[in-house]
Amino acid sequence: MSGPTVSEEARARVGTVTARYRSDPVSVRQIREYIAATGGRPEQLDNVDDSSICVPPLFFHAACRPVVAEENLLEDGQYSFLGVEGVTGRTMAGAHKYEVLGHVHPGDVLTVTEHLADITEKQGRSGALVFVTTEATYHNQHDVLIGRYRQTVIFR
Amino acid sequence: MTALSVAVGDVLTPFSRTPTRMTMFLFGVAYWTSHRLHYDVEAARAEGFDDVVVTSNLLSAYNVELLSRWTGDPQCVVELEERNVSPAVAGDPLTMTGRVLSLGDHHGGRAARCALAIVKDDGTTVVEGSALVLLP
Repeated sequence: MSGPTVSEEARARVGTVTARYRSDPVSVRQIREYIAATGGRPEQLDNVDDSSICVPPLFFHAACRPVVAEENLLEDGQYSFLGVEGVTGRTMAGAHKYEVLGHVHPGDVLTVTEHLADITEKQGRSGALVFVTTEATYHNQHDVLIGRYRQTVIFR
Repeated sequence: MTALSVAVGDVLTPFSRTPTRMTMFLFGVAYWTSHRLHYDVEAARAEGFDDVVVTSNLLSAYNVELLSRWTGDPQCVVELEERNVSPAVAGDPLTMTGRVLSLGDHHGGRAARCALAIVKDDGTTVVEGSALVLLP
């Protein structure tokens, strides 16, 4: 994959909302998978009422990852819209910040609204780099803000 | 640990994990991580890594565990900010570390700002960051 490249259309979207995604209802199954994946014990949810389940604080971000068909993924498996559509290259995670503002419960439907904050192009030691920063808000079905996530993805 | 017993400069008890290729599979399921670097060892090696690359969001969860073990509250994290300094790959033993930078109030409760670092056995820093956590 060659890169990085930045289209004029992508540059023009800085400062705008670039994506909105609504999750499916959060399931206990999803929470179990997250707990198991992060080194915890999924059976801790056995015999626990849904209303009493304590969802891990960063789970809101996992719950809102879009599910994409294989034919719509790039050759390296990445989303074409990571950061923003129109910026290409090999990607790596640069930095991020989570703000946990509310709890998530089984059955919640979360809506993430992503805003393109910045595109910065730099010349690194090994070539050109593009830093794409997005800021996302997460609301539940009651329109309560439950989290924020800011991320910088590096394209090289 | 209680809010009253915490002081600036306190060191959080470190803990270690060694994420494996199986860990990366499990995390890929939970997180829908389709980027090949995280599960395809040939793709990872073609990009110069020794093995599949550990996802940054998994490292975030390890920092949450560090903070939760310290406070005793799995919901203690209010903010978590991290910068990826160098990659970790499957099989790397990782140690999560932290220390208290400052103390203050947060919405009527006591809170601590902690500096965080995830390091490999050879001393290489993988992640640097900070967190705001509620104290019991």
